[in-house]
Amino acid sequence: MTDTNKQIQLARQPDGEPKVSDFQVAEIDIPGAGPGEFLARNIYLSLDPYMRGAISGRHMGHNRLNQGDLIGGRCVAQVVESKHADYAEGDYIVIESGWQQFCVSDGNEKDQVRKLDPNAGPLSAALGVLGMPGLTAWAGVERLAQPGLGDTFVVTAAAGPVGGTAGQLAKAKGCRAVGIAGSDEKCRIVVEEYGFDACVNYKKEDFEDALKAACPNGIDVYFDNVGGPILDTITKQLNLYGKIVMCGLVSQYNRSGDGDFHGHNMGPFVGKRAQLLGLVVYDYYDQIDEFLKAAVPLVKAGRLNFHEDRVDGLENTPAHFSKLMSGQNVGKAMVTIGPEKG
Amino acid sequence: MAANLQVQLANQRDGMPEAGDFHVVEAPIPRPAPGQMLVRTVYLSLDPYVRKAIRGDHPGHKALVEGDVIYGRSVCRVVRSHDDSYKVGDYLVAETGWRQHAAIGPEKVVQRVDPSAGPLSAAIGALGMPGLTAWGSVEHLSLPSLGETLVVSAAAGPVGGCVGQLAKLRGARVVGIAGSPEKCDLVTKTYGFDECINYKEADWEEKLKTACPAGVDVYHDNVGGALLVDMAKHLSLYGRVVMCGRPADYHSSKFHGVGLGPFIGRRAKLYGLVVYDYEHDLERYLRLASAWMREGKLKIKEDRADRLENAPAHFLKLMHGENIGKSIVAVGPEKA
Repeated sequence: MTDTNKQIQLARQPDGEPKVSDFQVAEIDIPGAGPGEFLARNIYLSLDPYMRGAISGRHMGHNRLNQGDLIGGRCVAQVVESKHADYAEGDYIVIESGWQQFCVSDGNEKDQVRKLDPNAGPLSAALGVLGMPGLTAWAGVERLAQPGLGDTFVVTAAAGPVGGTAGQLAKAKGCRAVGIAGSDEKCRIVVEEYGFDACVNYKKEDFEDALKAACPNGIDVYFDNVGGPILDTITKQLNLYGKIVMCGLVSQYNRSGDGDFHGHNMGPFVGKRAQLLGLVVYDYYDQIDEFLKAAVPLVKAGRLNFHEDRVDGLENTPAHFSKLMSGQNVGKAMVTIGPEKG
Repeated sequence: MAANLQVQLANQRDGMPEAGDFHVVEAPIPRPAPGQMLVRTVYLSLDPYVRKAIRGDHPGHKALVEGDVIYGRSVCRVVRSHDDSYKVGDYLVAETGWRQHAAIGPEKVVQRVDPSAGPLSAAIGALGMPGLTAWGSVEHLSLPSLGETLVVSAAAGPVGGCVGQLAKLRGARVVGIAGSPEKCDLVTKTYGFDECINYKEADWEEKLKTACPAGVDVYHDNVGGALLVDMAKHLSLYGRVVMCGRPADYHSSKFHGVGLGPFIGRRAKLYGLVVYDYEHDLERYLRLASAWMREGKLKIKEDRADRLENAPAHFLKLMHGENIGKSIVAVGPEKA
């Protein structure tokens, strides 16, 4: 165990897509655990598109960061020293720790600490298919869209952890699952590893026709992870009374100002009698056990698969984040900060 | 009375229509073909959707070309009939277009009118499609609960007025949004809404906040555009939006872009409403609504013009939002 705590701070507010030079590495002393606190060693750091909005203060519950502020983020970690009654040395946890190697917590609500069962699945899955992204997908499918048998369920960013899980859950419920992703390699993972019925590359010229061919009976549910113009394309193929889960607006997160968002023509939604359902995962934190009850058996049975895009070493986090925000990651983006067993 | 006045399209315009886009002409009274009937128009309904129907941007309506009669529904009376299920003297609401007499088949009939249900003209207002639109919104989509706050725009109009009054009957707090003090007076004093906000006043959003201290649980949107965007910030968490009309977008293929981010933040549910989906429920609605009208619980207000020749000017008045209440042209007498 080293005696310093490396962390990644904001060097300056990104303009559009984040660059490595927008971040800086700092080394500080490893904090000590006071009474009622514990010290944890981070193992895996999750990188997620919402962080881009959070850095600029556009994500709910996050203040705009200033130079020198620690970047926020969720980690799988192991308790290395504890003066807290509920956490023992060796416990694996998920914690809102930020982009750093060590953190101290008293287990308060803000740190969102959750104990992990190491037998539920691979530890890193707690940041993906068995974590917030999985819960997001489950809430959209089971709590909002509630697709029926035989429905056609389309999801964007299908190779990612939310999209991949949403499609596999819909498939497990008897839907036809069709993914949309941004490269042939991503589409291959969506079909071959996740088991979707089809996947369409939206960067190809014949995207609209290919989507139509993949959805011969129209689209009943669209799980929207990206917003922007793709939503308008989907709406044309949406069946009457179709449902749209509005989950993410990745295509809009890199924008710098407030005005330059993609504005939708609401007319087609009215014509289709569509239901647009806003999804925020925070609303479902207290249902995580119900979600895990559904997801853990599927993971164990090999029916809920995931693909990770990992990089080693905390100092490589800015480059990996920039890769995610330009859509070049394949699968769940994360950083390996330390070994699983310390 | 041999002449049959009708209003035709003179110019297919992109943008706000003008008087010169319409053309009043005399035509012979048509002879109904076998299976058809001849009807005489009594009250012609003027509605915002007619603007986009003219452009071919409304379900079931082809774009009109110069010389075509303008689309429109009216309360009309059967003069001759070759269809056994319609008798001479029956009142109907039908797709007659803007004309004094029309030869129509049964497929053009929207509803039969029971003259004892209420005023005849209400069959194109609160006792017709605008009323049914409100019914679909409140009873099928947004389902406001006791103590919830419902806000509706174009509140002085026939759809908005009915939405608010039906929500009030369900025990909701009801706040209207309208475009002038006269309209707001109608909304609170005649329709009985709890409050009405004039969105043309600079501090209307402050007033809305005061009028909805617990936030907006349901917003019925009759206008779209900037107001829909503004309303996102006043929604309660898990608020519902019924997307019903967007008259600002009806004049051309240009539209007002709406960003969805704020609706996600509110965890909103947005529903698209098309009244045709609720035609199966018309009979039940009319039974209830005519009773409420008799009991004084459902009030209407009409903005009438006399004579078909005045239909274009009256339509422009509607397009500019200068009408107060349901826009109607009295084309002929109820009894003749």
